[in-house]
Amino acid sequence: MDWVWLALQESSFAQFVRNSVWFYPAANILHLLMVMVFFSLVAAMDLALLRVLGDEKPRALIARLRPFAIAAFLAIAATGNVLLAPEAVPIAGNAAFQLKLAAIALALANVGLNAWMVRTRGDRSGLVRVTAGASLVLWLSVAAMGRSIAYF
Amino acid sequence: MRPALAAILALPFFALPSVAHHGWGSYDANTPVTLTATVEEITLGNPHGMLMLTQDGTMWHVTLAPLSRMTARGATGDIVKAGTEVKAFGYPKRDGTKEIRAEWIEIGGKRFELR
Repeated sequence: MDWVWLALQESSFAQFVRNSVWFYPAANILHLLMVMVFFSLVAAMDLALLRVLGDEKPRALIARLRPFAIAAFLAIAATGNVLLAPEAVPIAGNAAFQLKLAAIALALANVGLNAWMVRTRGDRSGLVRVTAGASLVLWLSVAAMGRSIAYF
Repeated sequence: MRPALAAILALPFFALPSVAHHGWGSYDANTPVTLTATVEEITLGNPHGMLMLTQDGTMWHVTLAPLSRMTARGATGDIVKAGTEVKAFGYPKRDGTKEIRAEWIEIGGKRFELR
């Protein structure tokens, strides 16, 4: 795996990011904004499944919001790569970053499990609620780990 | 507003000076270091620049600001470059690594504030 980080760090793209005056800060700001947008959409969907928010049928709400959540996630991933590239090797060795990747993997697996439960057991089943609650916790953990990279 | 809630909401404002800066906690602000030497090596870039100099036989890493701030403060690559005499004031790493996080650098009598 190390060669991937090294290749990224030594790419001409990373070189460009290191030497850019405004590209890096712009990516940082966009990353933060997209995290906020993404989590708002995630929270709206999860809270609908938990019957905390929304009169609408959760499935209809999810169908409407999910494309935007996926778009925001892709924007986060893209800007995240801009932030990662200039120092990919040391960041890859950072404990908070490693935990963040693990939390993203868990959160995505949880999204899959939740969607499958909604489809097979209906949106009122217990496991749907458990995975909706886990979704809120996992995505917040991802954000917390991301912010922690600077301190480890 | 209930006092407990007000206290919780006010908390970040008290916490701010200690956590607002990236990695602030790993540098010791109580034992500032001033270095005066010739810049041996320098990289200006993101997420932050870095220069190396030797004083009294010890090589120090001096952590600078992000490129956007260096540019905004006028500390560009044609001013901060290898071979130039620089005075750097900053806080050393708590773990004993020979690294300071520069608060300001001075070149030719001109001070560039980096924080």
